[in-house]
Amino acid sequence: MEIMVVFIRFLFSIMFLSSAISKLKKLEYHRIIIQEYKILPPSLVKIFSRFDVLGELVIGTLFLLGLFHKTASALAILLLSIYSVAILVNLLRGNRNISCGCGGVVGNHKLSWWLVLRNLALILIAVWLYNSESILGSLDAFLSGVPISGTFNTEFLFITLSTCTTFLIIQSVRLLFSLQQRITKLFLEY
Amino acid sequence: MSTLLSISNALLWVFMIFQFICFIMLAKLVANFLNRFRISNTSVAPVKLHVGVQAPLFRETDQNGQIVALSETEGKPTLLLFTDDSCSICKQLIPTLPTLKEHTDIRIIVIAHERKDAQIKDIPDGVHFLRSDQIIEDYLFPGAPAMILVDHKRYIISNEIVNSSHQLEVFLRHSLKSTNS
Repeated sequence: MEIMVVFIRFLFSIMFLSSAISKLKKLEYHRIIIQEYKILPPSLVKIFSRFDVLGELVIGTLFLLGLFHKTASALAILLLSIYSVAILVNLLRGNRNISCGCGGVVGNHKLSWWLVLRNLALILIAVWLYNSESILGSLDAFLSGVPISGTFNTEFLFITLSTCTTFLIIQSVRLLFSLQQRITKLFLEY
Repeated sequence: MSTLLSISNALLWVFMIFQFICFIMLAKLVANFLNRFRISNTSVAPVKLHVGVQAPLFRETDQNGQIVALSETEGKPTLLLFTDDSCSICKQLIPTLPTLKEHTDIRIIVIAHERKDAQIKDIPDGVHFLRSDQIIEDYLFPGAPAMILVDHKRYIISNEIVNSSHQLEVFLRHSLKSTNS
């Protein structure tokens, strides 16, 4: 179970960090997307767009380092809940034709019920992370006196490598799928 | 023996990760290449941003360290002039931009690739100059020199390759006139 906690923690870290980096690259675009949700008053849009990116950066980094595990999980639950409510409100209003603004490895999609379900699944996983304990790869445990052989050992190295590989496999499959779609479109145009 | 096995196992993982990174980079390159053109009547035509679509947003720092955002139009149309350091027409066009700005009430932004051996350096006052590969990618590299005129609501009203300052002025006046009418 401990291996699973580290594995999920890393995947969450990649998800939040990649999302934050892609939003940072296009902060102006991200601000417009939040504006298109039509939930916040215009004066708060700019502040929220920055708070949101900062939150994702903090959560991603904490998960990566295994620091303040419970705080990171709670923040992840809070942020994912805010996103889900925002999507839900717009779906109920019938305002589906806007980008979710998710960014990073999760990509940008038009609003749909699938996104709400995906976020709910992520919230459930974050709740499970909140309730689970792990010494492996945890800076919290290391700082509280657990020896390095118990925290950052060979087992931890192999989990890190396998998480990286899993992430890269997912990315490769997604890329191959989009390539296949593009080539099919070109054939159809021909 | 077990240590040796662990090391070889870790090295294999690292090698696999490296291979996947190379594969993803190659696939991204192919995807970017395929997204650059479409097939029209059995011949290849470049993909470009069409008139009437919303211009991709950007926010960059100009040559004076000032933040330039496409969304901050101040109610004026924005002329995006795509240039290249190796393009001689671009170097002739840039000094004529202040005159163009005097005659038409527009905001002018010149965009070029990020380069270390930059040759375009003398930018007239009142013209923003941005070096950004990201903007060029977002605008599907319209060519150099090329003009994209964006109205105050961020819709593209013209996307043309230009060969002289006179042609740029003609395209600009025609686009602004047709938008006003």
